[in-house]
Amino acid sequence: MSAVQAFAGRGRARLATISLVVLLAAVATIPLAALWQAFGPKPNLAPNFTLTDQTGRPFTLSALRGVPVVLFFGYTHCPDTCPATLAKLAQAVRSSAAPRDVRIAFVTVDPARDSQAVLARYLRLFNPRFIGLTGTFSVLDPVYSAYHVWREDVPVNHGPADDYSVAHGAALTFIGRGGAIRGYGSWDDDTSLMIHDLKEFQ
Amino acid sequence: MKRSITLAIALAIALSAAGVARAAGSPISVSDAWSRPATGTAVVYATLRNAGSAPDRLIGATSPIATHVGLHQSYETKMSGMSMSGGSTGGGSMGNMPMPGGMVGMRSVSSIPVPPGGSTMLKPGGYHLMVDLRHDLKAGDTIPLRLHFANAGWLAVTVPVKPLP
Repeated sequence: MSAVQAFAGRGRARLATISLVVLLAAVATIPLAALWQAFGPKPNLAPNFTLTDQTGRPFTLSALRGVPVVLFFGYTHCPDTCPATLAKLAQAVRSSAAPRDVRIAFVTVDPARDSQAVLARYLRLFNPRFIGLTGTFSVLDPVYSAYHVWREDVPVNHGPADDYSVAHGAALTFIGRGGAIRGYGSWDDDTSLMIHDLKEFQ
Repeated sequence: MKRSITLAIALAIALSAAGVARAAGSPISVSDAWSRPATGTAVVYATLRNAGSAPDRLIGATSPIATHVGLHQSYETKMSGMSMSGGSTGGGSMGNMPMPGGMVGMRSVSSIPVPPGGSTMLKPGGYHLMVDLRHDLKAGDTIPLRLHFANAGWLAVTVPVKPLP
């Protein structure tokens, strides 16, 4: 082995060592980053969407960044749990303990029957500031899935042939001023708990 | 005879003032009936009491202000056993925040039982009447309603539309 060959050999060995160190470092940081992403603290941003509100204008969730928002999924042909929930929310937002600027958004799970006009007439019963959101299934389905809202048409035996009810997820999603999901409530929470959540999760 | 008629009328007035509807001689009575302001679809809640010794059941209802009145039951499917974070819809972003996974639905029922010597409450999240309205209802309105019981027959009830709390 000549001196030149030996030097080249040492150089190659050093290069290999450096490469190995760089590779190991890279390999080590990938899972760390992944672990951090999976388990580290994160803002848990509310999935953004654009739907049509009850006035016919496009509504984009992120446009409300800076104010707390509560999302509730339901439909106007729901006589029992949906109006019970909206009535409690209407009462809760009037409480002095609730943030004054909170907005309640009611997303329909029944776009076939809940047109803008139907939503507008319905929401006036509770609070004219409530936002009613509708759209086609093709724009609503991704929203349902992003917010884990299952929906399913349920035929009802009586009444008109086109009559059906819609079984649906009934969680209240509380989105804070920063746009992150801060907590969840349920349709059957009582008004005092809703007031607490409005305050806590703003 | 005259006296008993006067008594019956007085009793009827007293009962209706107390918000209790009862057909003469019937063991079935209806109290605390109420509804909410509504567009399109209204609800009726009430307490059905059976003072008799035989079971009875509500089998139907009609109202002149409705195209249809259905007997319904809301139900809730708790999905606590279902992992909300393991789904294919990106639930990982939920972190460890517990999410109420309940799904509410409504089914039509052919009858609502009223046990002898007992009562059945029509209330939010449970049994209720679904009223397909001919016109909108506001607070202060009333729903004239006829309830049909399998044994006790027809019973008339006037349901007040309460203002929202």
